[in-house]
Amino acid sequence: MTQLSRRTFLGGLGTTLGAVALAGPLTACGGGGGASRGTAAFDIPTFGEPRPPALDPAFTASHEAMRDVYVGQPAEYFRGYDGTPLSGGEISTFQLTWGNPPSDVSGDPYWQELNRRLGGTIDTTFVPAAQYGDKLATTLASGSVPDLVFVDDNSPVALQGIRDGAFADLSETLSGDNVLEWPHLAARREDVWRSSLRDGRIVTIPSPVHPLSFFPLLRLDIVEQVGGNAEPADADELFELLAQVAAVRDAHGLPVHGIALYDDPLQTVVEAMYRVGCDWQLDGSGGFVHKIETEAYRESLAFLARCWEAGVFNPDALSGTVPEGPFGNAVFAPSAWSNSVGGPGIHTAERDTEGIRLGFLELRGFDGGDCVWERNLPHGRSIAVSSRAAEDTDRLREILNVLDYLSAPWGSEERLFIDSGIEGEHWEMRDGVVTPTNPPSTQYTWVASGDAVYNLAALSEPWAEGFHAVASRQAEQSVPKDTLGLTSETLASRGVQLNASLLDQQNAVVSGRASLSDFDDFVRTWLDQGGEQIRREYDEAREARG
Amino acid sequence: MTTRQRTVPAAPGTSEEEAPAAPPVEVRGTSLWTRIKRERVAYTFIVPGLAFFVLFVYVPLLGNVVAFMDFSPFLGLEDSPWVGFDNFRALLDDPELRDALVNTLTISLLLVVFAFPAPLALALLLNSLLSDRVKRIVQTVVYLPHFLSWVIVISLCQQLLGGNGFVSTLVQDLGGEPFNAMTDPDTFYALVVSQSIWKDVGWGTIIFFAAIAAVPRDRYEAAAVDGANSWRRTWHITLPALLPVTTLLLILQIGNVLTVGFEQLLLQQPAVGADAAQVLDTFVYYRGVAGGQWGVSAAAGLLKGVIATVLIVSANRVAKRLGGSGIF
Repeated sequence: MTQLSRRTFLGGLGTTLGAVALAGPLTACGGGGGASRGTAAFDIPTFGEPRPPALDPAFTASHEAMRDVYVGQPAEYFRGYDGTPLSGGEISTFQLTWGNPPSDVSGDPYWQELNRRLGGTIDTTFVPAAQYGDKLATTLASGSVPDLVFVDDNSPVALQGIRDGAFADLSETLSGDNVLEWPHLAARREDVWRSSLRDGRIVTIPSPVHPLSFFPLLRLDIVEQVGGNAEPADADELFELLAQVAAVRDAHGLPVHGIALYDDPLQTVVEAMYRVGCDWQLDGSGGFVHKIETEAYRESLAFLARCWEAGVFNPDALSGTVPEGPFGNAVFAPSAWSNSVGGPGIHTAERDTEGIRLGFLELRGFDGGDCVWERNLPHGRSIAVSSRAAEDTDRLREILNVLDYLSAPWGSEERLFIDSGIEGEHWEMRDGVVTPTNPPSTQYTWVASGDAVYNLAALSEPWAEGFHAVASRQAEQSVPKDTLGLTSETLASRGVQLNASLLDQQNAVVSGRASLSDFDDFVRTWLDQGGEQIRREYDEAREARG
Repeated sequence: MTTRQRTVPAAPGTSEEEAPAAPPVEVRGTSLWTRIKRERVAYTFIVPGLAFFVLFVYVPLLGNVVAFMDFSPFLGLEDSPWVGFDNFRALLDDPELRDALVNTLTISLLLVVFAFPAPLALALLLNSLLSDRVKRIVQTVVYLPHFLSWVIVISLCQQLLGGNGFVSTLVQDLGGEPFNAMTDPDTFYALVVSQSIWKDVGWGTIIFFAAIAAVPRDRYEAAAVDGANSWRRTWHITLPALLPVTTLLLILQIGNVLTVGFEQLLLQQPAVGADAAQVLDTFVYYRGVAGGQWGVSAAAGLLKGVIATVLIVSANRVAKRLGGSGIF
């Protein structure tokens, strides 16, 4: 199940699903309570520079795909919002949760404080990721759409809701300088807004996203134990290192693996090593090809299959269950930065298991040259406003006030509360560092503003320099998506199905259930099932754009 | 409407020969309404069950119209456009449907052959135990897995039979080659059937125990007096007594032949692959809930329902032709 979200294809899916969601028939405009889709011209919302945090960056970005790296927390937190966004009453939200939902409001001091700060009552429907699609479908079918709805760009149900008018068109409300009424909403750059447009209209409030998210970690203690090379110069040397590790059966009382899971981060990293490039990419003739049609992609699969064959993988790597131990007790652990240095992850791993050492690996291309990293979309984690609620302009203003409050930038007192809770209740200030003591569940409505900087936890300080070096190098070797701004209706309607079959086939080839020649047959079927149609639509969209 | 005569059953604990002669109740020519009025108290007990089925089974059946629409949850049935048989055409053109159908039928067949008779065999085995205490303990133990969710059952299998599982680790410690039963498509059907038997064999014995308990003990005593050994008593008394309920269960099982463990298969599909683990129910899930193709999904469900109905009616007829009573 977890593989369904593998980013390698869905990243591209998100690019255009949202954009094409409105390309279908708009018979629903005004139907079912949906507001009419606006057609009036509008300007991209004006960018309002957010107030910077009271902390200097430890490393300043020098590439467009790199972001400043901060270590620790601001010395002080500024007040970013005056008054309360609501004047009593209630606001309902539909929010996907990544962790445990909170207890009832009566037993949750964070929720009570949030209500007080908002000046009303926030009534959140918490939805686990696995139930997002069916829960949203039943919510939309009920006709009672909450005021704020978390929109998963990869969910066809969410996109159907957008297409059919369940959510308000905010284009005119936020057009140009209008957005400055909500300074925190304005703290989004033009590319973030443009990336999140749905058929050319603003239907969601986006959150900025880091251009690059996954960075490979290496278990240096085990590399040392096997006498391996901690700086493999190419794919063969990396394979050799991992194969050496495969002979080690356990460390610190737990089974050791070369690679713990076959998941998004691993696929991303190996594709980068083989310079696979974007999901849909322009070939030499100016037309689109999908990465699975390329020899580079085929070679990346062959590398993974070779690793599997050599016993590098955890035998249960396809089950989606992370093996016990720090980072799955794996030697090669491509991970999201938020799980390693963004929080206490890497520090905790070293603290809790004596003798382990982790470091970032500067990955080389398969032939010793550069890698090619595909950048993320500039936006993610979008929030939409119910079209029914937005019919009342005063009500819409209040709803946007709430989003403005929740978008408070990093460094503000509001963001500190939103992310960490109440001082004394959920955290304490120790040596100038906000130290969680009883972390609350904070996933009421997650939306962010400002530039998506890498704000490393203070405990991650020893790894900051290594992280910055690796991230900067990856940024230099990164490319934006070739399909940015282009649309494919077929991708919206059949993308999930095509992606599921691709993931299944990847699993089969890597684990040895299918051969590479089977994969060639699969590619033809995949193209017949909708891939060709998507290619045509992209080509046409590109020609139309000129 | 039945035209057979109905007789009052014998009192519990008495054989039919000993029962007092009760006057037969004449139902021929009596209208349903008259019978409802006459036996209104008895019919009242039907009301909650009937209401449940009407509200939660028959009314939702109307939702099958989605199979003929380009359905969108927000637009609902009123505003979603009609598309005729497009969804059925898309369904039949889907190459994954064939694999899903083959897997479903194969697993169903294996379940009928191996899992269906397992509770019967276990019930007979337990019935042969002389100690009631031992029988009750064994019954309790074999019922328990039924109450475990599939998530737990699959996790247990993973811990036991996975690549890092107990068995593989033991084999490696003994110098053997590692193996992973959870990712091997060649043995996946056997794994699925084994899991189903382990989880539900105990629960399935309940109905057979009830049927065995209904067999008058004097029949066994009479057979024993006539010199029948244990096997003969089982063959000539117990099994015929179980035949009606076995027929009923088999007909119901055949009606469910296109429905095999959704959660069980969904949880194991990523590891073993769709070629082996895609069944109709997971196909419907991936197309509908995950993929938003509600119409195609509903078309698959509707088609499945129609086929199941045909199978149940056919199985019922066959059962009657073979001398059984069928279920309707």
